[in-house]
Amino acid sequence: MSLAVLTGQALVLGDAVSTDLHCSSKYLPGKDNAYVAAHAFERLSAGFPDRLRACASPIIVAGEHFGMNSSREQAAHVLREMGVRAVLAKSFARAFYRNGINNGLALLACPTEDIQEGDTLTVHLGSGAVQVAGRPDRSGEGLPPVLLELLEAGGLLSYLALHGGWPERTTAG
Amino acid sequence: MGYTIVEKLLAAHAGLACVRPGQTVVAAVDFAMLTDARAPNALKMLGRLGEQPLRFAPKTALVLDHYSPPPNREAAKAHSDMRAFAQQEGTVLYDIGDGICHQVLPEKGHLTCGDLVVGTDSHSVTYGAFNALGMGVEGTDLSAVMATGQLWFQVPQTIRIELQGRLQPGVWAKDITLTLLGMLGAEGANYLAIEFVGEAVAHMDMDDRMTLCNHCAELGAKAVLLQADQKTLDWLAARGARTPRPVQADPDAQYLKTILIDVSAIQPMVARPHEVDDVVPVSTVPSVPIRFALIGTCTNGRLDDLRQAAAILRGKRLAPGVRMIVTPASRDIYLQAAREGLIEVFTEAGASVEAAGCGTCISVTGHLIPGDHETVVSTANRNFKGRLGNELAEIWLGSAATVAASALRGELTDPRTVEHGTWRAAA
Repeated sequence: MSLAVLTGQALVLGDAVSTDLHCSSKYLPGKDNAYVAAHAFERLSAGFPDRLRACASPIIVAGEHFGMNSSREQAAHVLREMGVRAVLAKSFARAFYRNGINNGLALLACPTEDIQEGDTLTVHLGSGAVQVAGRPDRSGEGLPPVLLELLEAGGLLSYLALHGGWPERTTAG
Repeated sequence: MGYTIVEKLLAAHAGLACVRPGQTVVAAVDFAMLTDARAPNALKMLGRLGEQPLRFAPKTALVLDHYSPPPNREAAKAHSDMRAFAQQEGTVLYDIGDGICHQVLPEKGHLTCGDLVVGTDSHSVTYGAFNALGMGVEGTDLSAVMATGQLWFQVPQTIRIELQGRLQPGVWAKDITLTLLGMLGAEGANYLAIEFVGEAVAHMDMDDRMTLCNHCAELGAKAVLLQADQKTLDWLAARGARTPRPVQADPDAQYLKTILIDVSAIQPMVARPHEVDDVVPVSTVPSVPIRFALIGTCTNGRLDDLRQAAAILRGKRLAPGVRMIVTPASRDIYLQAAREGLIEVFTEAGASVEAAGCGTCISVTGHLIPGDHETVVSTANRNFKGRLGNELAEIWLGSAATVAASALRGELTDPRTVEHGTWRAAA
């Protein structure tokens, strides 16, 4: 599956989404990923898990600092289990960004303010270009080749398993 | 056009002549650290690597500090698994009571100037006090490092913060970081590296420098870096660190911005419940009775913190109705505190001194839970609602001086108003 171009439908969240609070079991001791996925983000947006399930190719669209206060990798695991194709946000919290890429979750920082729930999106991860049906095209910071390769492999460890380690002095970017 | 410390350090570790912010590099790691909070995930993720040998395991430390001692069978199992893994793979192991990862790593000589260190904790920025690039990562990253000794990084932009003047007696690095949190806001340095320079840094001892770097995690900083000086080199040499490779910023390095702060004007500060960036001078807070005082954590559990707190409490008793727990940041600090008679001072004052660990910071051991509507004053780094296991409790943050003075008086207190609250002369 090539990740270079992704298409899907927007599911919209706001600014400063804490994935610890809304997409992990940090405050739900003993609950597994399936439980977390069934309730993810519902306190921010009523019915969110149901709408996501009904969506063939869900792309989460958010504002600033998506994943803030979230160093837990579990959020990325849960988002993938939920079938999320990508997350577009104005910005990502640093730890969440690492965890997303490391776990094969496509992330792109780009302007998102006018994107509405259900909009059809086409995302070019390498160039950072994003097309929104019926709205102006926009552009974010494209992912460097090495991160695209991690995503293509399904995440950091799958990439290392596939290649038997890092390529000789990879310095893409 | 010159380069900042983080740019030079990442370039050197990536085998490149130079790098610029925004670039993604694969860089060699000098040392890695995995705590018990993330080990279960990391050891699970290792399975995805297949059968690769973990060549970097001898340069990886497993630290049992969060669930220390383990509050349930699940945590105890994680510890058993970590001990078995350490033995099998040949990693370094620090067991219950040895101390908090960020104290133990430098104290045991695992890092030096010019190093790149990753740890599964956001406060890994502490290593910047030693001119080492410390960055927080997750279990997948740690697994990748144990197998390959390398990891991908994005080169951050750098903010330069010049700390002019000298801290006044009774004012500590914690008061600087709280001031910065008030200025920039939590996450105000998200993705960014911070370089601290200036007279105040030069005059700080290593304990306070570690606090300065450590607490910038709350600003969202990716890395915090100080230049090395003789104090740094002496401290590292005394602990058997490898040969230092100090890295300095170029005079014409490119910074996102420069912030000037006259630290001589900074007063003892507190963060109000429940936001780490809602800060005010202690002296402006109306009477706030406190019930529970905590001194410890990777932010303020070091010897100078304990010495200052003991100076305030020596020969005195905690205010009626106040309880207090002191947790040295490491076994070495505990031992030295015992030798200096500090443990005796705390115990006689009515405080309890506990084995080294993360327990004073976050309610993972389950034995620190404040009562409903009780007010806590703590040297920890975070005061989010529920951080200590009761959402109805209120947590204020301050320096060890402020916490000890408040425990003595029974209400939030500017340490400069109590006897020996300015134990250390102007730094």
